[in-house]
Amino acid sequence: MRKLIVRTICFGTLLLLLAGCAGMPVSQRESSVENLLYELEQRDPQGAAHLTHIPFLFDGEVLTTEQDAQLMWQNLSASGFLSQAKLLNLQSASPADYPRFADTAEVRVFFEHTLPENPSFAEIATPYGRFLLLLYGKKIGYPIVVGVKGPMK
Amino acid sequence: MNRSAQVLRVSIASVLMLILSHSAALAMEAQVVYLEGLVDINPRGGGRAAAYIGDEVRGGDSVITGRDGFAELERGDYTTITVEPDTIFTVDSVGEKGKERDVLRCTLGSVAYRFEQIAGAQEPYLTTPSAGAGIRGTELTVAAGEDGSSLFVVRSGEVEVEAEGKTVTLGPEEGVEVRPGEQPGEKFEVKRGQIDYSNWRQERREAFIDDPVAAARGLERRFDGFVTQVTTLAPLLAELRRALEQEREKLIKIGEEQGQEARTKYYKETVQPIEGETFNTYITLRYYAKSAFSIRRFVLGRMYVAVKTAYIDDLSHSRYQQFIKIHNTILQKFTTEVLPHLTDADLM
Repeated sequence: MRKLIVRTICFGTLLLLLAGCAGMPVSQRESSVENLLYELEQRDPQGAAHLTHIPFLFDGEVLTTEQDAQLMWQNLSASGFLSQAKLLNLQSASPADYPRFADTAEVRVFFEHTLPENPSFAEIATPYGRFLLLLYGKKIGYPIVVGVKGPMK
Repeated sequence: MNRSAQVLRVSIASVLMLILSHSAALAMEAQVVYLEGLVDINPRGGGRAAAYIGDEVRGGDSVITGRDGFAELERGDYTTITVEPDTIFTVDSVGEKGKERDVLRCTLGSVAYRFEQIAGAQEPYLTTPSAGAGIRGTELTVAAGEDGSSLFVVRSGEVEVEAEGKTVTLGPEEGVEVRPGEQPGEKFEVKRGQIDYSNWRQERREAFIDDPVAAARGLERRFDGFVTQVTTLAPLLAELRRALEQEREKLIKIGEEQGQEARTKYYKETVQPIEGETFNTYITLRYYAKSAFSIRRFVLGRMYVAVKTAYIDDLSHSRYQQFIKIHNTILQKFTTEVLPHLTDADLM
């Protein structure tokens, strides 16, 4: 009888965990975002570019090529941008939140038409100030970077 | 029929005519016949997706290749277009002498063209961020660097490269380089296979990194040239639209007072030419607005990400500050002068 109760509790806990995973996209889970920051720092620029959605935002710019993403990560990695990055907060995002990135027509259109599913804003602290990352969905368990903005005042 | 119904009928007919004309402007089609690596098609109106063999590239669409991407397109009239890696290539059109002309734009990267001369067919116009080129039965390669420079190299036929009011005519095995905001340089002789376009692009990338301020200034001059065209054409288009509206009102009145025959005569002699001129002015204005947008997004955008991330540890550096000042000036002009002539579909 006791064995049955333990099994039921274990099974129930597992179900709850699975339900939790299914309910919250990785882009909105703190642990996944922290893993992404670690992964971006570890990878070479090409590897980091693979964790970046094309097209993506950099401040108010809409960047459209793979080379743009690689160039961004190459320079950011060289500066040690993510060496001590810490996640400060994580919030879900919606198309109406575009002014948080840049209050321009181009960024509005990007948020309205190009923003992939389950987007989130992750505010991070770096050696060069606070930055805002726009993230979405998942790829091999990590959220994908759709935008980088900063340093924020 | 009452007057408002007649106005509605004339307006619908005019809109249909404009739509049909516009469809013609977007009629240039090419088909993807071969590809390798990462190749996307960004259709006019958004919805970027991976390209497949057999896909069609229509007016307003862009082909964007990744670092390992390569695509070959063909048109029914025996035109072959080869889009090299890390390239942004767009099919567009411009109003010229009462007709629409295809424009093939290489904004970044390099594109090789082979055109077979077709009797009676108008050759497309080729553009880069720094120059435009008219062609005659030609095989050539066009490259566009990250600093906004371009390189035209002709294998066969003849090409007229124009920038900042100067035209250079290239024959077989001749090439010319054009820096943004400057006139074409001296033409030079090119032996087949002598030019490595990826090396040339690397050189232009290094030149830009060495002096991003000079590159941004050159780009600004070119951008300003397109903005001047937009600001010149915008009041002209507004005036033509006003005149067209008045003439359409008059057309209805003539129909009511003098009958169908007089109405048809007035339409053909007076209204139709204004409609044509209005449409051509609209297409031309849109061409310049989209050319300015292309520079703003694809060339200035890459410059911005390259410069800001390079100076991320010292954003107060004078070189970064000078660059950002030019960047902001271009954005300001883009927002006030160009953006009103673009649609959301253009911005996708």
